[in-house]
Amino acid sequence: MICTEYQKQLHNLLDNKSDAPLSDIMQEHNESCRRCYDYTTSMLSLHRELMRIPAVEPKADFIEKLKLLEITRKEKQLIFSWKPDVRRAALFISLAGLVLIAQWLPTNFTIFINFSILTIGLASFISTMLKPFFFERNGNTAG
Amino acid sequence: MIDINFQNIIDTFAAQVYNHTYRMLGNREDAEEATQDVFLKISNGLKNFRGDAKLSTWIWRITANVCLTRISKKSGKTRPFNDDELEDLNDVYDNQINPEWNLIIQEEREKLIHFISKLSARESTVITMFYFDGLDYNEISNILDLPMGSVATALHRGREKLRKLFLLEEGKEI
Repeated sequence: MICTEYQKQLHNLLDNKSDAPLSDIMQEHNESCRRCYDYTTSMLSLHRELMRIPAVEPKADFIEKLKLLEITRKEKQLIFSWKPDVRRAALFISLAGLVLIAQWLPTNFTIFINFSILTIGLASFISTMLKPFFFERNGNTAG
Repeated sequence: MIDINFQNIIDTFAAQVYNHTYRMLGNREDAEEATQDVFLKISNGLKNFRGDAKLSTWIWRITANVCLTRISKKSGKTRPFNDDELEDLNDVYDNQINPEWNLIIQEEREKLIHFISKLSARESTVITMFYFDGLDYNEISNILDLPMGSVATALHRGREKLRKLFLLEEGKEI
């Protein structure tokens, strides 16, 4: 057995994390080759030390801080969203308003568009003012 | 979407993730920052997690990527031992009569930990996952999206470099 093959097989043995002894052929090479003998000694020692190194624990309060960080981050995401029922109602009212406007106004397309835009704008403004009463935070239902 | 409690994920994985980031980055401050980054990414990505891979695989993947990103940003400062420099060690040490190999004392262990952070990003990741995270070839291969042969190569080369770094250090003391 040549040295490179021996060392490769030694690595494979270590990869299995087993305490199995060297095979006969490896043992024979190990006994006859000083270089590989030293290589084996140092590599086994390194492997054992790596296996023995204990885990590093985080500081006592770190995990709690991690949880608090997540809670704080979510609380800061103050995204208001429409309550589903209000959203539906607003949509139908807006459409109904547009249809009524279209019927009662002269058949002037430009005027119709202007009134439509005005209606939508007014509706948006009013809904913003009334937001706290009709909208909820994500994850919480207000009232 | 799978119903996963984020707080439970922190309870289960925080210590392991911290241990991995500490081994990769070499100090507590960077480890804490990296761990926070990992869990921030987990929190943001949970809603899109479909369960294609195991949850642990997904978390380890994020952990590895966060560490590798940090390392690549500091690559000029914390990875001085590249392949060319370590090849030179072959000439210096392979022909010497080696001293007694005693790696059991605490100082040696701390040196070993320090040397791991000096390996290449891939080698230190594989070494850390294999020895400290308790993962096997198959798991490491899935996490890093590498063939098992590449995982084996990185592991073997990492061990080899650690051995040579130790030789270099011992040589300086003599």
